[in-house]
Amino acid sequence: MIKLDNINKIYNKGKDNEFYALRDVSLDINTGELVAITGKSGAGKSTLLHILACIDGYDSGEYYLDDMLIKHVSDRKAAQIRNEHIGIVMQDYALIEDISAINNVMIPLDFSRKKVKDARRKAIETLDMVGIGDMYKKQVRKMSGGQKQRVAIARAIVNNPKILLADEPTGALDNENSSEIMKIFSNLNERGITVIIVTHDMNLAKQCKRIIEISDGRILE
Amino acid sequence: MYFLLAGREFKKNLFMRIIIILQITIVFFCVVSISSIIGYFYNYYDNYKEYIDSKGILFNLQYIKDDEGILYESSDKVEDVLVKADVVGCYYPWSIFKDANENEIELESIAYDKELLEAYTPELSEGRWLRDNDDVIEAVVSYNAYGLKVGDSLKVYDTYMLQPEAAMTVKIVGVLEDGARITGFPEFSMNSMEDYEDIYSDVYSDEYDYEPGGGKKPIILMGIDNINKCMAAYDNHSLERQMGGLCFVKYSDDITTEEIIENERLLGTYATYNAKEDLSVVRENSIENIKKRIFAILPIFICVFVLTIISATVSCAISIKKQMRDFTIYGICGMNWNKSALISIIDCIYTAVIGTILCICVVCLNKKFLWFDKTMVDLGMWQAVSMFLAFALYVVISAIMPYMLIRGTSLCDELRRSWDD
Repeated sequence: MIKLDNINKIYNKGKDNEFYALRDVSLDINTGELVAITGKSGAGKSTLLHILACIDGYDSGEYYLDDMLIKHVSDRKAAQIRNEHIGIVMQDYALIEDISAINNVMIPLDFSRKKVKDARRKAIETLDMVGIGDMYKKQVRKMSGGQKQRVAIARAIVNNPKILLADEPTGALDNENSSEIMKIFSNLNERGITVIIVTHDMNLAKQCKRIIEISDGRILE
Repeated sequence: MYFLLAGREFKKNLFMRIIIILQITIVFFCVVSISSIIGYFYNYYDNYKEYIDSKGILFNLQYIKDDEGILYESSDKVEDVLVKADVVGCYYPWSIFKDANENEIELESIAYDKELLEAYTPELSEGRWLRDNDDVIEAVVSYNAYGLKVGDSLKVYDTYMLQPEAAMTVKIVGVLEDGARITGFPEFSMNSMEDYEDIYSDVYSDEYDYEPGGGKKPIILMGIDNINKCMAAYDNHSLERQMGGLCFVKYSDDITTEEIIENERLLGTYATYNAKEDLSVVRENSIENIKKRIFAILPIFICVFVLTIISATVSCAISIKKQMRDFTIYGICGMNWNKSALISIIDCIYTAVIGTILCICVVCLNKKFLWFDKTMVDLGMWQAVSMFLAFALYVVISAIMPYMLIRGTSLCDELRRSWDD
């Protein structure tokens, strides 16, 4: 499903402060895997996640997503891939705080090329799936951290993506909420979604079926 | 959907949004004010542009007589004497006006040819401007100590009271606003006709509030066609009229130099005037006059222009900076970066539209409640066009700024920035 072949990502290329964020990264992730990408701060975890999410490009190598080469794709195409194939969960939830949970969840449906019938019902069902179906009208600002992360997950999966990418999803949560969020990821994985979690929390990583360690931009797996 | 998202962005940061809208309203109001001033100057020229821009002569006539010394009562008769000339002007009807109680009313009267009547309507404090009427002579009067008002009627007798039984009735249909500008001049004393400004006279109440022994006589304005029609049935001279005051002699385009010389000779023979000027000179002076006035307010105009650009740029930049986090979220959810710029543009358009509506409201309320009394702020075609141009300028800047700011960054940069924050 995901194939990275000798990916290099260099920041400030050609300048005095040139920096290799990723160096010859090769990686295969198959459909249905639950993968943790771990490493110290600055190891290159988030850079790798951004490349996988088509948020950032790379300097050399090849990235295949479902046999489709993701290289030099336009902003429009990258946005389409994110909308249709990839769900993204961020540590800071990345939610629009002053609107309701359901309106946040409906955002990807609004951007979808295919018009989704009864988007509202679908959004409520998705919120229900992550355990906060009864809170769909609640303004995100008034929710707890755990509830916000559930909304973020619901938004990430509402368009039925094949891949769910999570960047430090429990970084801002207490142990109880972290554990519940991890359960949700496991459940989604059991439903066939490929889940890739970037974390520096080894306890969380150990709950995944596969751990990929990254250090100084290199895979140590 | 983009309109909805833009609406959502618009509702955010409401306090800042109100400040920006007020700023735009003030800028647009300045634009309306400046265009009103320019329009005010130009309109007075524009009213008689057809004549000023032609070949011909502008007169301040005392009178014009034929070979036998008979005063011309009609511009048509003057046209008959001249070659390829169109003559329109004012008349000084002279007679005795009396009110319902047979008290004599001292009035300075001016009558207009139809063309002059239709070209310009002075500001009225009540009633309406003169219309064609076959039954009664209509008149507009200036403010007067006699207390003449709309609906009042006056009797008009011939100067020597030879036929009192054939007196005519003049009905007052309008009263001039204090300080109204009228076509022509109530006095003969105007000795120069330099530009379009000299075609008009300002009628202030404190100057024309005639009382026996002091002040000038109030003015009564009438239409010469109206007088002629009403008097056609009577063989009397209760309203003696002679061409006098403002008079345009407009030549045809195909007139030859010889014909012009002949016309000048005829006018020199028959016309007695206080002032005479070639229309080409009047036009040149008029344009120079308008230019001078526009140049006088040009610095204000430039300031408003710069202010529009700065306010548009600053308000857009502030809005986009505030919206960047939302755009990043939309990007994560699958909206491309260009669409974010589109949302920002629509949001700026919403702001500009509300600013425009508020500005129109302020102008209308100003007109209704006279907050800025005696100013020229108004809302006509000129003002609408200039406000539309300011609006367009604002929207163009609003369109450029998001593309510059949003395209200059990437979703990844913004994610990193929000992470750092």
